[in-house]
Amino acid sequence: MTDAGYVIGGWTLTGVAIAGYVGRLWARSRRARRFLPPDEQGRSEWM
Amino acid sequence: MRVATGGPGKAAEFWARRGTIVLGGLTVASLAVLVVLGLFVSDPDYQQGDAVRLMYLHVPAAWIAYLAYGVTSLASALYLWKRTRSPAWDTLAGASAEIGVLFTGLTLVLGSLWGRPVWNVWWAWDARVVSTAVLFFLYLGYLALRRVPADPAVRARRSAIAALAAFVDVPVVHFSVEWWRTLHQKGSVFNRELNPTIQGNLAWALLSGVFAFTCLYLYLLERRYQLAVMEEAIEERALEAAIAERRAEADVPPVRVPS
Repeated sequence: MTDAGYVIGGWTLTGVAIAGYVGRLWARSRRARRFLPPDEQGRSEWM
Repeated sequence: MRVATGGPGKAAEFWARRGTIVLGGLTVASLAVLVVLGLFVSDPDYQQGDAVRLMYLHVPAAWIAYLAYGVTSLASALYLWKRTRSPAWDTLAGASAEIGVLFTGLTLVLGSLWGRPVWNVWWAWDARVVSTAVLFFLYLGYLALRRVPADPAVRARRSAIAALAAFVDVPVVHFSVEWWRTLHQKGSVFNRELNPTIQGNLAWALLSGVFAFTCLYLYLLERRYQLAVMEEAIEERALEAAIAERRAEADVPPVRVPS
């Protein structure tokens, strides 16, 4: 593999890992909001 | 635009909400700047070539791991100290440790991907690399410990002690390159002995990586903390419902069997 291959692999992997974690947090927050009344949801909105 | 009404609590809530939105926007923008500087603007290193572009992720990821475990330890210490004890410190410690584990894992994988073209090996039994792997497993164990069912106060106390014990490895990781002969390079950017010079656009790419990952950490920490608060509220509601159900069962008069 060339240097560019390692670089692209590393950057892609980092992007996927971060996006995956953000997506997981978002999905869990959405699920949690369904079980709670609005006054107990805190600052749960995303953006 | 919404206007904060309803006293200082509501106003604080309003500004906290705004702060989260601003932090989220800043994170996305700084990550975009990092991609442009790290992949397109910065020059290849004269020895490493394009492989140096992995430094813009590897070094900031390691910095975030240190920062996250530092926050976990501080929050754990504040939980253990009776005068500042609050379940919020325990929640913050757990949230920060989870992000720390993510970034320690990234540090290890990115280091391996960088090591292959530069050192010609995927892995080395090197003090820095091994102590970082140990750090990863220590905090993975800490997260597992937090999931062991127990009374919340007991769980928080033992988790806080474990977090402080695990933090002992952080200075070992940091100073491993000074204490032992290692394949991993010593600290260079702030090393006065080396008097390093790092070319402008490489330095800016590295600094933008540190800034972007710091924003990302703060944003993720806020999101993870809010999620933990909600999940704890759900747990409490489920427990209260179960207790109410048991009480209702106990209040039901026994059924008389006709003789």
